[in-house]
Amino acid sequence: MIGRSLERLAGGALALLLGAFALITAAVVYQGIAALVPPPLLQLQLHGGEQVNGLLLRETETELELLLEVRAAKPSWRRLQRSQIVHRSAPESACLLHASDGRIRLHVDCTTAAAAADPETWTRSYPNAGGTLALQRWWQAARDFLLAPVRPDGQGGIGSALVSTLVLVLLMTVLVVPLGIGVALYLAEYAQDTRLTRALRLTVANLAAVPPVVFGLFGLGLLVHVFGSQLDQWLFAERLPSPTFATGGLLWASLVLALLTLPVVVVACEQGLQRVPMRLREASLALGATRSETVLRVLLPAARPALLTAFILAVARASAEVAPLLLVGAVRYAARLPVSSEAPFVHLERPFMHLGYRVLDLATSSAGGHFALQQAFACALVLLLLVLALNGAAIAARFRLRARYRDLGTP
Amino acid sequence: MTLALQTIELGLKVAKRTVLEGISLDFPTGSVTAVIGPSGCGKTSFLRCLNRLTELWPQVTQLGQVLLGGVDVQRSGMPYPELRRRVGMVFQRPNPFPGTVYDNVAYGLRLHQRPGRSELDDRVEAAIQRVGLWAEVRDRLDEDALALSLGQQQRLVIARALAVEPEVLLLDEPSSALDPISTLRIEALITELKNRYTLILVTHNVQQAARVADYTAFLYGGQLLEHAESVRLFTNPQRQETEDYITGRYG
Ligand SMILES: Nc1ncnc2c1ncn2[C@@H]1O[C@H](COP(=O)(O)OP(=O)(O)OP(=O)(O)O)[C@@H](O)[C@H]1O
Ligand SMILES: [Mg+2]
Repeated sequence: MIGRSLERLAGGALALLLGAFALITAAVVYQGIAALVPPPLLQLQLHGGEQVNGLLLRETETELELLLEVRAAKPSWRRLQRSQIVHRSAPESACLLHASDGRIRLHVDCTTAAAAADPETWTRSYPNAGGTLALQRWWQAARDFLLAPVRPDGQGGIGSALVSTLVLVLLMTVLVVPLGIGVALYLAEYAQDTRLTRALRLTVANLAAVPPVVFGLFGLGLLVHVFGSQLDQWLFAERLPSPTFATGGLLWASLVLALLTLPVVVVACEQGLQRVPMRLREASLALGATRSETVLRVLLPAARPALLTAFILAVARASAEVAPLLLVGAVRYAARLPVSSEAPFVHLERPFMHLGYRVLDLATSSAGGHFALQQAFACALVLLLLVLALNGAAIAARFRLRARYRDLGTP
Repeated sequence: MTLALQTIELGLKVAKRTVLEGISLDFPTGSVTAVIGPSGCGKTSFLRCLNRLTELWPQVTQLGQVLLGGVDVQRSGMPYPELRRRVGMVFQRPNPFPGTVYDNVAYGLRLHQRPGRSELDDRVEAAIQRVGLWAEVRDRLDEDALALSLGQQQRLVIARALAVEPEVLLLDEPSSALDPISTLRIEALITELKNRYTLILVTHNVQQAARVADYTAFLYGGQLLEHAESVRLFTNPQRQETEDYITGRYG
């Protein structure tokens, strides 16, 4: 009887979880893609003869919300009651002129002289066109979304934020995986079962419970202000007082993320190492292998699936964090990418833009309104795809290994 | 008669409990010695004392001396990896590494001598030949070792142990996990190997000991009760416990 209801409860919880997950994913995907489809440009005839042209941003049962133009980063809006409207049309020839500084102009008929504008400053798109033009428009929007240059207010294409986020996560992985494997190896293989190692293990596990922003504070207080200042005095004295490493940047941010994800990596790696059967260790030692040869040639190869799991967990965890990064180097606008095509290729000291920060920024900005929220969803979608791509690679690798190590059995 | 291996007053304590006590045994070069005794009497522990795999157990103290080729292992400060290269071991259950048949046999060779590719090929083949497995695996060298049958796996790990040319080979119930045919093959293999190596065979199977061993040692409760030529021990046991055991009165 109790078993039955417990089963239902568990099943219900699972269904709820899956439902919520599906809903969130659907919302992100739908809104994210919608952000790339520009709204139609409407030509409205009102009672009293007035004519209004605008981009349709939102439409409810009773109201329409229109964007009329954007002049010097100031958008002008207009809200209309449905009852005011006599006639509504969306002319095919309507076009939208978009300047790189964010200004937007609308024209109902692009063939007129009034719409002829300097093509250097104004890019032209046709929001109402169908057929290939519509496809072109979508392509254009997607390209703009990714590749348009970023503006100092943080608006513009998200390409550089995407690249920076990828570099940050990869750098974090490079730092945390060896460190995590090292700690896990020590705990699983070398440490005696003393009170000290038990305390150490507990500490690592508890690190997982520390709020991320505390890691950010730690990074700011210790890494940036202490280590960074010291580094500057030793290596970059000629640039002082302008800081090089004594301010937030890629290196500190990835270190903070590495510390943040260390517990999951250690726990996953240690479990993986412990699952390697004792008889494989014994086989290796009995052949005259030293302890470290056994670790390198038997343990680590046999634990590879677990190490990849650790990588997946670390990437998922690290990509989700924004709060600590705000303290150690994520900025709204960075003129330069943290990577370049010339040596040293990765610029560890540079502040960087981050997709998660961008999402936060867009979703909380008051200026953009509905538009900005959609853009935030689009950003979130890209972030999600990034994590999926990284994990997909690791999962594929693990699948191949799993087939090989399936027969290992239990210790 | 030279002694490949000799123990003097060997003892083992695990967390203050005495597992083995006062075991003095001689293993003449090129002989097979069977170690028999009831379950839990310390046979496996004894073998592990000989190649110091006891160090993997927590809180162990090993007492007494082990002489390898007349040299005291402990006092001469011989590193354990060297000891284990010279005293090979085969475990109760086949334990090949995940990986190919070839890599399994080459494992020890790659550790110690790092021979060139063709020499490695030759020595891997020689080791597999020696255990009579070559005909069965010559076309499967690149296959996963875990895909072999249990009996083949056990011969494979014997080949793996032989590849590093040990002087002594410890076999811990090498056929207890195998079917009767595979068991016979292992026994034939032991008889073949005995002139080249010194073998110490732990077994639960009294008939097996009588068939293949030159000498037999009877362990009981961590002590050596009797040690003699197999023929003598099985036909004319000196101790009541030995007689009870070999006539199957306990197990
Ligand atoms: N991994 C271990 N750690 C600590 N003590 C052990 C371990 N394995 C065995 N022992 C102890 O050593 C004693 C002898 O065990 P051992 O395995 O040597 O007996 P055995 O004669 O090989 O038995 P069997 O015939 O069942 O294999 C046992 O009392 C056991 O408690
Ligand atoms: Mg045993």
